[in-house]
Amino acid sequence: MNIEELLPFYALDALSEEESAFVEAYLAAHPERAAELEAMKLSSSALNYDVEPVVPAPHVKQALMARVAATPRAAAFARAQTPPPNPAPQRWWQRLREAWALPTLATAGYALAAIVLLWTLGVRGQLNTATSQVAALQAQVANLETQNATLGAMRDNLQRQLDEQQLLLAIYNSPQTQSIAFGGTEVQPAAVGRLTVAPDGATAVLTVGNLAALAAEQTYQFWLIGADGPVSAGLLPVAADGSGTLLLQAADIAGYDAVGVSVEPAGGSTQPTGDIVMLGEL
Amino acid sequence: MQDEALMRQVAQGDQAAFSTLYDRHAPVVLGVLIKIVHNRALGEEILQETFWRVWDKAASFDPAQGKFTTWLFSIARRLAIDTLRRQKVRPAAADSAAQALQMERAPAEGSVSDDADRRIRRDAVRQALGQLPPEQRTVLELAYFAGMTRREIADETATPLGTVHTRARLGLRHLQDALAEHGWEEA
Repeated sequence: MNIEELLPFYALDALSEEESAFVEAYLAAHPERAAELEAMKLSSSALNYDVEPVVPAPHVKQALMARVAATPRAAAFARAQTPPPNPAPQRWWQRLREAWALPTLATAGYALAAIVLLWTLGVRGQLNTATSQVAALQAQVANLETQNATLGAMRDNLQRQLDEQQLLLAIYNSPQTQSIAFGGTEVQPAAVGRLTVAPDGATAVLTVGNLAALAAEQTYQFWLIGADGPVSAGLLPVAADGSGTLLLQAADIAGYDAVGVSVEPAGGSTQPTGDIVMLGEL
Repeated sequence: MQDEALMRQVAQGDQAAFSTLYDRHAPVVLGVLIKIVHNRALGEEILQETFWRVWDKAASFDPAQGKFTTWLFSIARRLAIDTLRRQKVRPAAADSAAQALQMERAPAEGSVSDDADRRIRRDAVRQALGQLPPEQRTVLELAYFAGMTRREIADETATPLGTVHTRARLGLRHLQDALAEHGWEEA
């Protein structure tokens, strides 16, 4: 074996046991080569730091530390770290004083513990009360926020109704307003209706009466009928007494030839599909 | 506290000192082990065994014989390479295998100064390794990380044995010079 060939691989820790033994025997006989080997080892150990570190999973350390803690050496070290009790001999007056002081101290200790316990219980009770109060206040705040949202929605709805009423009043009060009355077909001959068209020709109010109640899955729908056929002017809500009002807006209402009301599935249709219950010419 | 001082405490049974050494070095050791065995779970098993031996053999550690890290990495490498030989698994060249390996990388725990120290040391080593001729670097890595014998390296690289010897010697010498140039110091 050639030591010059083996030495770098010894530094790289990449020799067989036999080869390593040969190198170690050589080094023992030639201590002057130790520094050279140390430099080679330094270079080879640097290779470790070319690698990205990887954090081990926590259980690896936990298992390791548990294994270590179970060794006698760890237990002995832990015992050695515990401060020993004071073995100093006592004089007779010290013993007498302790004999008196210990019960007193014990009593004082119990009293202090009782005070701390009562105080702790009191604080805990106050804390529980305060926590309950905070929770109740939070519930009240949530309730008020809900009420506020509901009132806001009601206010918006009322404002919308007011706007509609004002518009209706303006339409009805204008001297240029046109009003067309029309009635029910043979399906509902008792039905009556009136379409009041505002002077702008694009806003109108439809009022109806005596319309029959419909099933839940049905609705009345109002149509403007022109040369190109019927055009939906909106769903017509009808109250239990058979009356209903619809505010509608459409370009050039007067330009249509006729109006009609039909029975449609809930949600309405793009073209009349059910019975025509009201019809009138414009 | 220096590693060697902590090891004196460990030899007496100080678990806190042992825990500090683990936090300081386990991430780098695990990185090396994974590079050797190409398997994280196996790497963690060997890591645990490595540090167990550090605890168990603490009394035999002699700082006069070398740095703690040299001793630690020697234990880890030998365990890993023994495992490889038992499994008769021969890893491919370190670089290509590392690319194929799916490993969870994360910043090391431990102290900020430990982490910064590792980064500085790694940067210096990488710069130094970057200066090595690739064929010399390959010989060093096959010997160190793949645990190959001189003859196995010759077969793997299709190179005469004498050339492998020369590349190993020159590689270590060039690396030593480059490390000195980049101010590298062993931990």
